[in-house]
Amino acid sequence: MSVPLGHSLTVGAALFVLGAVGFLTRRNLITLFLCAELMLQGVALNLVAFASHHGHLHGQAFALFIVTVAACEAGLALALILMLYRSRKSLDVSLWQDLRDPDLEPTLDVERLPAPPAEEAQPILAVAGRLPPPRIEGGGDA
Amino acid sequence: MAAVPPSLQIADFLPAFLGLLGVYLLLPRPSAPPRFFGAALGLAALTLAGWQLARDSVTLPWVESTLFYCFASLALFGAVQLITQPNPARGAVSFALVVLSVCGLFLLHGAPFLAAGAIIIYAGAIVVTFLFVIMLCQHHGASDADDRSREPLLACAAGALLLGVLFALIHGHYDVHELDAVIAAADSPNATLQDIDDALNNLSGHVAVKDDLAQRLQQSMTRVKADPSSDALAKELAILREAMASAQRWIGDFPPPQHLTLSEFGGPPANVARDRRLPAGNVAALGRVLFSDYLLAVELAGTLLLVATIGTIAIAQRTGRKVA
Repeated sequence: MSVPLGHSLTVGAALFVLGAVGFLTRRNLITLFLCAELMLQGVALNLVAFASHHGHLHGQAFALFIVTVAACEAGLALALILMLYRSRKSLDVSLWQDLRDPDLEPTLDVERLPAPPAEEAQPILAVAGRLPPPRIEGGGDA
Repeated sequence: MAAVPPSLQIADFLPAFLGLLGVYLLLPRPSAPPRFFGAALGLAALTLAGWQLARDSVTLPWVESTLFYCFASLALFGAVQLITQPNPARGAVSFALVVLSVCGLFLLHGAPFLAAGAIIIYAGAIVVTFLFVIMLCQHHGASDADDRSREPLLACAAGALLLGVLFALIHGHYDVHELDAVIAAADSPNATLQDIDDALNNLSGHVAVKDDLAQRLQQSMTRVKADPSSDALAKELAILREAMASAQRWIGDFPPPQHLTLSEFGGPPANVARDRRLPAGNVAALGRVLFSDYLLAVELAGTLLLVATIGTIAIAQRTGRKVA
């Protein structure tokens, strides 16, 4: 006896919803596309579970087409991300918010980001040992 | 005959709300609370959901249940990591973890070809390509893209509502305990076929299971009428008991349509077969299905891949031209 259908449908639903929440909230273009792929994984899991539940392979064939479309989508998405990154030098989707409807308010970031941690100073070594021989200026290869 | 929709239980919403509350706490923002709280809530939601699943279904062999719960919790852990991790490179690696665990679930469902294909395509190709792009677009320190979220509260509330409704529907629809009264009627020491018939008539919903069991019951009744000895009755009761145990497995199904137009390469059609097993040779049978029933779709998928390749090259080659 294999895993009951309800179990896998639950996991598939959770993966789909987590992907949707990530797609709605995150602002990095790459993370957005990973979240879309996460939703596709949830759907593929549902299809495979239905296939084993009904005992024929049509669900698995559907899941195979999902993988195909996901591969196409990933290729196109990465090319688009590269183009967008080249023009704005950032992966933030909010930089493209001038594409929104004209009657919508722009979203502004009010909270300040935490300051980056100060870089640790390099240790200064005490002078030790012999001085190297002085370099001859213009002496070619050293 | 319409199936009676299952009633929604409030308890089924709880893991979804706990989990999405944890995700809300974990989502990156400038003044985020410590990750411990969100992680604890997520863990509680995962445990609760697993407990509910284990409580309300037929008992599985321990190997399968252990593997299922391991893969499922790994997949969900990876998914939460993916959407709450500020660093996109770590997100990509978490996505690879999700893919690997989902492939484990594929294997549990008897789909080895799909599992291998998904590992090669997703974990092997897509994630590596994502990592390449992350390297190309790398930047250091905190950024608007990685350390802020858009409307985390609204999105998590919508997600919790959707997930809660899905959980409750799935749970109500595939609740195997509906059949318990019927099975108890068959198990009682001096059971008659009439008792089972009464218990079966009290079953709400689960149309396909009910029809099938009623049909078997009719057959048993005619056989017992022909041979009214106690041995024959015991034999018929044993047959019915076995049918109910297997009916618990496909409870919640809708009755299959009368006319199915697909070939039988992928397995016997749903309106004929009662013993549902996947074909033994997964790859061979999948190939037969793909190149008979889905031939046109396979051709279209090949064309789609070609068009996507050409499109990708065309998009990525536009260098030096200002887009904005």
